Amino acid sequence: MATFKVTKGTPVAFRDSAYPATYPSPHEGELFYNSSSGTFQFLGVGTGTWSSGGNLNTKRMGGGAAGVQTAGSLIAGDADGGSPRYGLHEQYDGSSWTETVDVNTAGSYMAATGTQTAAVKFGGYAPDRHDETEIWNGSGWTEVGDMNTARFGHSAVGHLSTAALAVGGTSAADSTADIVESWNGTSWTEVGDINTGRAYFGGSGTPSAGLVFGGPSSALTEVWNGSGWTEVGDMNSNARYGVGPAQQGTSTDALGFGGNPNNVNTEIWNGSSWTEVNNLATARGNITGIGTTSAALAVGGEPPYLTATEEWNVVHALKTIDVS
Amino acid sequence: MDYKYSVKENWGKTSTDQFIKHEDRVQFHIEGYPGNVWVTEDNVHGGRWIERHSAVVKTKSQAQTIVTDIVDAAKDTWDNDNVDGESSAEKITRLGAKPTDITLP
Repeated sequence: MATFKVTKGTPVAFRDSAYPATYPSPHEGELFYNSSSGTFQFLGVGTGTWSSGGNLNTKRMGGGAAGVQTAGSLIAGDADGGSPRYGLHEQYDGSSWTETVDVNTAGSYMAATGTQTAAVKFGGYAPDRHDETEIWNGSGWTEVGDMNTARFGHSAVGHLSTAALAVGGTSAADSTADIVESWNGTSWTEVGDINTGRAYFGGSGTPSAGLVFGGPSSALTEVWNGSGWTEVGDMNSNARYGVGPAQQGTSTDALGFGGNPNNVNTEIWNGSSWTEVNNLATARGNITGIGTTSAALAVGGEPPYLTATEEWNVVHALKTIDVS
Repeated sequence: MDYKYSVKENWGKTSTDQFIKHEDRVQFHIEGYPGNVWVTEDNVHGGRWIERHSAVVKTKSQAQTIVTDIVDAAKDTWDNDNVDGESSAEKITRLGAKPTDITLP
């Protein structure tokens, strides 16, 4: 049986169905003949969009994040009107949220990272800034070594419960602190300050290759190489109070979305510049962001306080070539 | 771009369906606002989304009134929620940002 047809001397793949649009695909841009539809087709460049995810059980903003799109965690955060400050902990399975064991110290504007079964959360506001660190082992929370500087509105950089940076935030001494601390699974150690102090911003990457971006009225972006911070290309929009990051992104592949006031913009960082891509459906700030640049969650946020979750997915568009 | 305006509670996602699907976002513009107000692009796909959800169609003026009433109420609540000696920055930390006016497209 013939497996190729020849068009103008160039062999074209012959298939009885279309390539799946799953991203990423090794077939991106590949021309083929679809014998089922009798058409020439190719997989176009991957495009991300936001679609609906399952609603939270309790509306919230300013919670911590851990995990990925199909196994994510929302840790604590504020209820409507700022009171009470929840210790609630919800977990996502790809379609719905389920409440699980509360944290010991409730609060909002905290930072967290790790996975759904091994996470760390640190700092926050409840009702004043605090320095507590707690570890989640999949069944319960345990208090461990405190941060050196109590704060809230800081950002986490890291993917694991045993290695993270706590960057910036609002400390007793400075409403836009430039302090950075490194967590090794046991204790916190101060490392190099960011160039521009900030609070309520996004973080991505790891303790050896990190990225921070945004903040109130800020589009500034800085990259961390393990020993120092360097300012790089700004975001396109500066209305980024409480911008959501895809927290499991990297220093060269990051996603930032939303922010107050009333921002729906989503931007992708490619290591040198930010590009605007498809918007959130609902504007919000103080979003909890979970996942990667190809599969992320935007969870809760305000104002008004939301239960809504949106899922970011990148898929390839199947293009049909019409020569009639 | 022309728009349609409707109201429908966002029920999120089930194991078999989504309130807003990926293909919806590819086929038409949709944006959510306070009061479960949805602004959809006035094309065949946006119209089908409204039908699929049995959303209640509103005029732009009616939709704007719903949004404005909710934002105004939230602003009043924010203004009236005060703690003695609290700075404006501390209030924002405690309550989140003060809601701002929204004008529908």
